[in-house]
Amino acid sequence: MQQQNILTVDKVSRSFGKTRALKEFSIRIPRGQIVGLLGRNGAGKSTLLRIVGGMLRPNAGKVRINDRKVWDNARALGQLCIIGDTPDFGKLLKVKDLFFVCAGLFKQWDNALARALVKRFDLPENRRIKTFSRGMQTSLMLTVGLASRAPLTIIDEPSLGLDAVMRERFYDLLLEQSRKDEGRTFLISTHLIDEVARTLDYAVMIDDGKLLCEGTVEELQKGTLSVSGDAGVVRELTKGCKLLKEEELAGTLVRHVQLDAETIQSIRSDKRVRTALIGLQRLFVFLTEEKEAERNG
Amino acid sequence: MAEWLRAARLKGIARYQYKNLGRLITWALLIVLTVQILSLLTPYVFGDPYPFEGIGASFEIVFFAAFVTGIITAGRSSRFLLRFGTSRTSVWLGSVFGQLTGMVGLLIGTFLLNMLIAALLFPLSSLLPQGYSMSAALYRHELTEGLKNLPDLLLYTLEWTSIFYLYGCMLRRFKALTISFSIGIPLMFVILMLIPAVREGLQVLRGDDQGQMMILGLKWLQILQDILRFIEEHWETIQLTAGIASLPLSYIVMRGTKQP
Repeated sequence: MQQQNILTVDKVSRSFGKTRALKEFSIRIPRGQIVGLLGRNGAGKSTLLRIVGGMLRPNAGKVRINDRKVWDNARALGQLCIIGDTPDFGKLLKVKDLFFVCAGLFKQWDNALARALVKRFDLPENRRIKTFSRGMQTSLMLTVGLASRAPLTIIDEPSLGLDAVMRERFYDLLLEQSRKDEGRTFLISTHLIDEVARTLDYAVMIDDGKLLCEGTVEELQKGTLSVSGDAGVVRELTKGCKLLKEEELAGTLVRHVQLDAETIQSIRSDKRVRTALIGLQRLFVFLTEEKEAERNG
Repeated sequence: MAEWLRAARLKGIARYQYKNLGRLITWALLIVLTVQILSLLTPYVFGDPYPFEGIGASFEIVFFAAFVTGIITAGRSSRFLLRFGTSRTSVWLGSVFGQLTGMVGLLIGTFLLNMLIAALLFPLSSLLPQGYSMSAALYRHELTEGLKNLPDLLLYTLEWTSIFYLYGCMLRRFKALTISFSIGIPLMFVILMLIPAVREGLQVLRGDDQGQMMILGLKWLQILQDILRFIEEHWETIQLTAGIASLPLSYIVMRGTKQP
């Protein structure tokens, strides 16, 4: 029977000198979903991905893919394709050379898909890779990630160097591939949360090397609400709710709150105020600010 | 084991080595061929007879290529392969195998090129007898001699390829230390050779007993000479031991290297 979680990270810590990049970090990544690893720059996302990809050894804790330890384990790493945030093509000169090597590296490599993606990303197949712009190189790396059809595909900062059109094209392709390859898991690390939010099934938020929260996008948004309207009414309705942030503009008060399902229903049915779910990015910002305030006493 | 081999991505690593090393080896062989052809033109250009040096593999070229490719394979190539989430054991195994096969291929390639150039001397010797000379007996003799030396050269190739791969791994993991060591060791030998002369000069300036100083200097040189003689006498064994030891050491060094 297949494990429910394809990736398990258990109490992983990693330091670089005096800087602690990860502090007893634990997550379980469910199979067959698009998972977002969301965090600010320097939150520990890349360190975590390097540990998962077997490039870095943790100081403590365990990382397992399909219940197999990752460090220098070909059987576990054979399930994985990791695309880093810096394009690297070694000493390979042409796109066809890269695909030739990738076809040997990845068991499920789909050459037809790779060729189709090259066209979708408008990449010049016959030019030398080193003459490609940064955006083209990133697109080529993303092509490798998608065409690898690896059961666990990890992409670190897919948006770096890509223009808005190409970024949207990538998110569409990601959704397309996820639908086609049932059971395939994508772990996308990014700090551009709003952009990637529409593609995600599950989100893991990380801040200062620690887990901030995790869950399906619906779960995370379910207990939150932005309530706006007359200051007195908003205050009255949201009394007793956990306040994430309060903003006041020209007599209108906006309160972003965490609350239970019953209270949400009652507030939403009140015609005096306007309500909306808090977007993933805003929620992340509020939670991060809250933690920061806690740290600073 | 079969499952490990399937998961180890060795096919992809071999393909990468084929693309990378294959290109370098092809270039090296093309350069060798160009040089050989240019030297074939000597009698036409300068009027001197062609300096035929026998049939054999060019170990010097392989030695240099093993050094350059050892550093590339242990550095940039390993980094590329590890970045896709390939296991370290697979990368090490694939790299060592690729390096050894590539360098043996280059050695045999230079031998075959030499054979080809020597064979070209047959028609040339009939066209320009004062510039070229080759006979069936000479060809057979040179070929036999060349083939006799080939197993030794193959062994040296394997030994030095392993040593240079370890050097590449060391350079990637302990860059400053390895560079210091590479410059420091030869420098230390030069300094050790110079010490007696310097000391002698200083003592002479101070007005000490010159005879005594000379004896001390000679003793010092004797020790150095003994060390060098030992190395010379046991060179084959030292080379073989270093070659064999390099393989597990390169694995240990490579396994612990941080991946950027």
